[in-house]
Amino acid sequence: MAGSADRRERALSRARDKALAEWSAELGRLRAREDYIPELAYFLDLFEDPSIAAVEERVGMPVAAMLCLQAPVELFLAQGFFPVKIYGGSYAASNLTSPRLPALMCPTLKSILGATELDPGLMRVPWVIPLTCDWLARFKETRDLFGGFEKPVLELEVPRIKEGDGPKELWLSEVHGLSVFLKEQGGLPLKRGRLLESIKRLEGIRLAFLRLTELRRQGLIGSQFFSIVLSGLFRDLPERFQDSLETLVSALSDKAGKPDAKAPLGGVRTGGVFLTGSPVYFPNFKILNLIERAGLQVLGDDLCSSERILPRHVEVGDKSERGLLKALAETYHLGCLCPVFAANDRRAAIIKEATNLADIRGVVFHLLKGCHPYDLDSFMLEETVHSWGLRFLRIETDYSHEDSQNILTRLEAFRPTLEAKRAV
Amino acid sequence: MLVRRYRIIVQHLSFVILMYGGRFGIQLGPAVPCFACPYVSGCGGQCYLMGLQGYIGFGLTLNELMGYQGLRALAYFLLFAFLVVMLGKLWCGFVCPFGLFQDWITWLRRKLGFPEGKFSPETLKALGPIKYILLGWLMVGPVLINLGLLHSDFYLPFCSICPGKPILPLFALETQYFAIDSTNTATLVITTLSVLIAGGTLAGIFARPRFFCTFCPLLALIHLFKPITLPHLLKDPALCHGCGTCQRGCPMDVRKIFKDGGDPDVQVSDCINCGECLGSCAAGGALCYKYAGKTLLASSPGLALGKGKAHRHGGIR
Repeated sequence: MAGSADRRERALSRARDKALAEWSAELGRLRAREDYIPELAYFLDLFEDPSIAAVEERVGMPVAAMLCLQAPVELFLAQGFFPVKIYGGSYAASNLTSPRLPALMCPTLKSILGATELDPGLMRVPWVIPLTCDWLARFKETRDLFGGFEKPVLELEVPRIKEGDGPKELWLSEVHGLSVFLKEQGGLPLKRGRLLESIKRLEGIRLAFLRLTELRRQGLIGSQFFSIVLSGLFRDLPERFQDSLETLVSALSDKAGKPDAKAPLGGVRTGGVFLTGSPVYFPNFKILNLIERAGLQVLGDDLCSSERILPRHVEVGDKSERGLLKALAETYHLGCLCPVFAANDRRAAIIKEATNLADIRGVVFHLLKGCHPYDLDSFMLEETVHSWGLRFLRIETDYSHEDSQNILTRLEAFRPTLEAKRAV
Repeated sequence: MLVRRYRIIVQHLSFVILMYGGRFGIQLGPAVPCFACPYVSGCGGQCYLMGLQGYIGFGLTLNELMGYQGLRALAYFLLFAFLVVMLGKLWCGFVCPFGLFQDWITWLRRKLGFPEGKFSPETLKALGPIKYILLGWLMVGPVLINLGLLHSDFYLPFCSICPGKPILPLFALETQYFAIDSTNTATLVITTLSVLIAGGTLAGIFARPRFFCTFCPLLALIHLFKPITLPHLLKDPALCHGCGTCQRGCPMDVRKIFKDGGDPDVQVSDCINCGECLGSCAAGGALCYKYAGKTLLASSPGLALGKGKAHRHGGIR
């Protein structure tokens, strides 16, 4: 038994070193890019130490781990908790748990399970898990294979049907349950004033996000930087994050007037694409990196790890406590375009909107193996995208780098088709 | 939210003009398509509903219809129709003084943090025809009086029960319309009913935004002009994210604006063109306001967040 425990400890230690090296290498690569500017340093520094203890120390308040973005961030903050979205982009963490999990399981969740093994701090905080996809519905039990959770876990039942008042009421009661849970875990009681203040704070961040997105539509920020900047939302206090984001936006806006402004990576942009499909989490920026290497530039996306990381706007009319909770619950639920929902045809709206605003000629669908709702969605979306006269490319992959060359070749072959589209 | 800010400015300016304009020599006449109450001393314009009841009530003989009264009624109707064609329901959302009064009460309730009351979809559907019934009543009532089938104290049948009659004159420090008139049974019934309706309306407004607009016969009358009005609120279902923000922002709780029906025409009879839906919608171009076919304003994330510009591609094309 002792030998087995030792072997396990050695494996953990090796995986931890690999994961740290993976994060460090990716950060180093980003810092070495030609389009790196000093205003990005704050955001990259947030990822220097991947542990949850680093976040706890930085924010100086209790933290709660969160999977999926259905749980309103504003509610956590109003009740004195800092929500840490667990990203699960580490290949090393994913490899650690792979042997004990199905081969075709979502690599993001494999990686998150690996992270719970590598970072003991994650087990010392309460978890909130909205049950969006099937993998998440079984996440708590799956974690039991590795020893179970130490702190309470709240699972939120997400209604997959959005139409009608029944699902709205159900989700509102779940969000209310989240509030009770946070209070039980030592959080502050829910107060109308604090919730309103928290909503206003996030609205400020949304406005800064919007400005950054507008700069992205003009090709003034590369997708890898864009993605890591937005991910920083869950790694520092909103006020500090917002200040740094506004500084970055100002710097990029200044850059807009310069001749080389539309040349991330020092290259010439030949094809603007829209990225959709499965989320892309740091440090696994494989697909973003390959798209840029192929001479394409992501001018928009609808990934829940990026442009959809927060709902665009929370409209508050009824300012009673119930009214605020209702506004948050409905905005996070109804506005979510994740393919786990029934009748999700409105997801194409974001692509349509982006194509109205930017020079987008094609859509790249990023599909992580094992992500079945997105797999199905890709076939439906392909038809819609073609009907608009745009090119469509589906790329199915995982966190390994073995297929990188193959994907790069496909992307390079995709590029001339966009050029042809321009000629038309 | 930018739309709301501009609306509040226009509403307050309109309130001052329509409630006190007469004291400064401003008189917009008797064909104003909103609750510019003639019972307010020194008002700057008069609600067309009062004129409409009066003109219908003067008589039905050919001589009267073709005489100066008939021609005057026609002229005022044409003026009313012109104003409605030009601005449509913007009169309700941006100009109506009673609308602004309701918005003040809602603002107060929200400040105090009292929860908002909602009608169920079934109730809303059931209440929908009431405004048309009131419209019918205010047109039929004067005819019945003229034919001697109704007591003449029911003259101006809608004005006598309109909640605006006792409430709006309060802003000119006139409280007399809350008095109960016991001259005869008819006046007793009418004035008691008027006070009860005003009280119920005040309670309703405190519970629900624009409570009275659900029953407003003027909104019904303006809606009849919809096919020829120049302003129109339209939706592009292909750009809608389905977040429901528009419906939550809507004081009238119009559900069609959110429902995915594929129909671009979302200006239903309850819509008051306040622009709250458009101003709160963060989907670029999903909702747009057109005037004579040209896009005036379209939804955008910047507009919703309060500091941006309108969607530059103008939404529906």
